[in-house]
This record gives sequence, C-alpha cells and structure tokens, in this order.
Amino acid sequence: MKTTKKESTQSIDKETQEDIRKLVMARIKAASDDLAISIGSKEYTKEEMLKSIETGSELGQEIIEIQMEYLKDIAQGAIYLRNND
Amino acid sequence: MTKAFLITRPNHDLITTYLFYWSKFVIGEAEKKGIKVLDLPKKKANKKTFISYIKKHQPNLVFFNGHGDEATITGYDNEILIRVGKNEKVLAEKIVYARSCNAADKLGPACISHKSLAFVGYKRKFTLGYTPAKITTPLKDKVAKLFIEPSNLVPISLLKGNTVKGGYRKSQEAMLRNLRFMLSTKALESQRDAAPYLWANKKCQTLLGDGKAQL
Repeated sequence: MKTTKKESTQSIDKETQEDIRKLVMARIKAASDDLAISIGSKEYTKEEMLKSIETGSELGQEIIEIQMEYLKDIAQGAIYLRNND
Repeated sequence: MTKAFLITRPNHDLITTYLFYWSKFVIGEAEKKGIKVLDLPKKKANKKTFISYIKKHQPNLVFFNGHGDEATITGYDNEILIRVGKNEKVLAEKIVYARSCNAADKLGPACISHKSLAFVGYKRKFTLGYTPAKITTPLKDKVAKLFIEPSNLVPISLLKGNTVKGGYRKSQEAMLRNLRFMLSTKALESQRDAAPYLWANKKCQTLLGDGKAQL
C-alpha cells in the first residue's frame, strides 16, 4: 500500500514522540532516589513520575514538557546567558 | 504611615509546610526593617480573616503562599481566598506576590485591571524539588533550598526598598546562579537532577503591572 506524504509525516512525529518519551524516562530512571518533585499541589516519587509517563497521563505530559524544554535550552546555552527574562 | 506586609502561610500539606517554614526568612526581613507584619499562619490563612485583615490594615504588600490555579489562590485546606471576577479588587493599590500555581495567567492580569500596583506570580505550576528524607526538617533540605530561597527574594527585595522589577530580577538571577551550581561538580546528585524543574519555575515567573512600584 502506498504511503501518502501526510501519513509519513504523522508516522515520523509518532516515532519522534516515542523517542522523546524514552529519553525522558531514561533520564528519570537515572535520577537520584533522594529526589522527589512537587508539581502543583501533588508530590511525586521517581516511580510515580515514571508510571505517569508510561501511562501518558497529564502529569506525564507535563514532566516531558519540563524535561524537553530544559534540554533544548541547555543545548542553546540559555543557562549561561546573563539574563533570559 | 507605617508600612504593612500581609503574608498567608497555610501548612495543611507537605508543600505548604515547606513554604510555611521558609517564609520565616521573609517575615524576619520585614521585622528588621520595622515593617508591620500581618502574619496569617496555619488555619488563620482563611478567607474571613484574610479579607478582614486586608480591609482593616490595607497592607502595601500581599504575599500568598498556597495552592491555586489560573483564577484562584487558596489558603488553609485549599479554601479560596481570591477568585477572578469575585474579589480581586481587594488587592487594589497593593503589590502582590503569589507563590502559587498558574496565578499569573488570569488572576494576575485581573488584579492589574482592578488597580493592583504590580503582580508577580507563576504562569504555570510552581514546582519544588525536595529530599524525601528531610520532610520533617524542611529548613535542612538542600534541594528545596535551591528552589525556595530565590522565590523568597521577590518579597525580601521589596522589603529592603527595591522596586518590583528589582525584586523580580534578583529572584531570576538567583535561580540562574542556583542552576549553574546544580550543573557543577559541587552539587549533590539530587540537586543536579532537580535542575529542569527549577528552570521551569524561572521561565514561568512573571511580572505584571508597574515594575517601578515599591513599598
């Protein structure tokens, strides 16, 4: 069956999203057990964060966004600029 | 006229308890400067007391610690203290600092439309890294310190006589300094791994209104 250009793009996006999910999960798995995070009014251990990413919950999405924004900004050297505001 | 500073410090869950303890440094600064402190700790951070204190004392600076969302800020047991479209006008002619989630998104602009002088808050969820082994001694938590100390700098700078913009910048710069420390070899593993969350706070901390306003 012939794949259209649109289907191909969607497939790449899905693959990229899956890669991002795996990357963030690997980062959290490698993180210290001495760290917990509160996001909003709830607290999360490493295991709870991993589960939320695995299940694709709203929290999981938030964690992915926070981690990816940080990685992109680090790559662009934003943390080493004097003022980012 | 004596300047007055009102602070809400509920402590009904882990995060509010952390903010409750760490806010003592802000209160200490106000006392040092001879500014009248209207402290609403624990169950006193309720709507009735809050509104009564605001009306009676007309504080120049209001510092909220608590939960909330785009349209609300809550006190003890998540009782709503301020809600968009309901009572944001009680914050008119005041500088407001909301250490709570998302308040700079809708509540902040609403306060400015209702003549608050300035509003500093967070456009997304406020995040806090902490050490599970230190939850009974929050002031000894070396991870939480990196998050809360910079956020304390907004009101501390204002109490020292700086402008809102000055306080905001000091807080932003302190977060940046802490981030650089977290990425250094001097940081604990847990401090380093918390860096993305502090970065998120830095990016969503927002100043609205008159940056030149001061106490």
